Amino acid sequence: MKRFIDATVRLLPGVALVVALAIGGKLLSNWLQVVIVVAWIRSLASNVIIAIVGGMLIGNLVPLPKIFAPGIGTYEFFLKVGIVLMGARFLVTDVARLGGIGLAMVVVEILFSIAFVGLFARMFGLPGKLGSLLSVGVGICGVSAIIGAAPSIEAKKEDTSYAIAVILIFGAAALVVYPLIGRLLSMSDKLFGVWAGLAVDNTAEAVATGAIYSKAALAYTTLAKLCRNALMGFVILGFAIYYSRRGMAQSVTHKGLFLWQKFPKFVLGFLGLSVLFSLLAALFPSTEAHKFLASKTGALRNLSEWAFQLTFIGVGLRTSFKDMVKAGAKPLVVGVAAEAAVAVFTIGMVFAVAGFLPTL
Amino acid sequence: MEDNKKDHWLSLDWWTVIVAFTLTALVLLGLPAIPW
Repeated sequence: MKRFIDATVRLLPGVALVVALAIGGKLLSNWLQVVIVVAWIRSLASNVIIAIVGGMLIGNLVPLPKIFAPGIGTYEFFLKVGIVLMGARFLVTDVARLGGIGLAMVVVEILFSIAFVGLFARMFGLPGKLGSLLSVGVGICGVSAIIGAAPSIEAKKEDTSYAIAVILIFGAAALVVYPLIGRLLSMSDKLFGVWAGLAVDNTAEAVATGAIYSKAALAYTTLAKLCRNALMGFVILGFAIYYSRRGMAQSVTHKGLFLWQKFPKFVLGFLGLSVLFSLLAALFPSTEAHKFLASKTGALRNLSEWAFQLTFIGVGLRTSFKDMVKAGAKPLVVGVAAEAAVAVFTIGMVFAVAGFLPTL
Repeated sequence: MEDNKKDHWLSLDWWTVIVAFTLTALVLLGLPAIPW
């Protein structure tokens, strides 16, 4: 009980700040949507952009007391709650259809990322384990994959921080660059959404990139990204075995347990809600029952939107321009090459399979 | 193999699932929708 109270006291100031900024940002964007008459300027004042840019400005320009830091770091929790709640909106058959092709695309994307980043890291003379961490981060799901892989391959602390810096710099860049490319190429919500889910590394930034493009794109981004997250354990296991065979890390004694430990459990929550609401819709086919369910999924959608709003504020507050400068030019060079290659490769793949992608 | 820092059996991910399912149960039981 004491631990619970201590944690609450520690997290409360930062969470209160994030909630206050989230409500303020939402009200500001609602007001701007009414008063701005020029359509393209109005689209720049969208709720997602205001939350992220507002968070960045406050986080970088206002010297926030340290007391806020632990609470600001909770955005990952809100992100995952928001994603699990999104599960209620998807029919499980749609999840299976897009998930099937999504998983196949993710496998190709991961293999390409690992091969390309590995080659590039070697060309630049980066340490082998740093190259592997970058491959995991670029190939799967950014920061959480790097944190998950680091102890398994016994990577150095500075290599871990360096790999995370690369992922975060490009997560921030993706928020701006990807929607612009999508608009320039007139990509549909479906194609852009799947592309963002495949190519933007960190889950929070991927969801934000999809949301900046459109609400419809966000649904595709989330599903594609979850396919990547679901495969995290397999890739980390692969690297752990690779390094243990070379005597550079301990061996994996129980592979099944390892995979389960590294599996992101919130993906199960997302699937669980999708199954539950699909079952309810199938068991109660009357129009009244469907109206009832639609009102409930609507209420859950609002909760999910608020959870994402808290996430976007947290992402903005966490993005430190000072840290980006401190990380130096090397992550920039490695990152530009890796991210650009993955972006080009995945956009090609998305266009190539466009005809096979199911519509949600 | 163990991680350097052993995870608590109830990880952050499980907490997100518990919170989301609790919210879903409350909504199904009649919690009014929060406006967005």
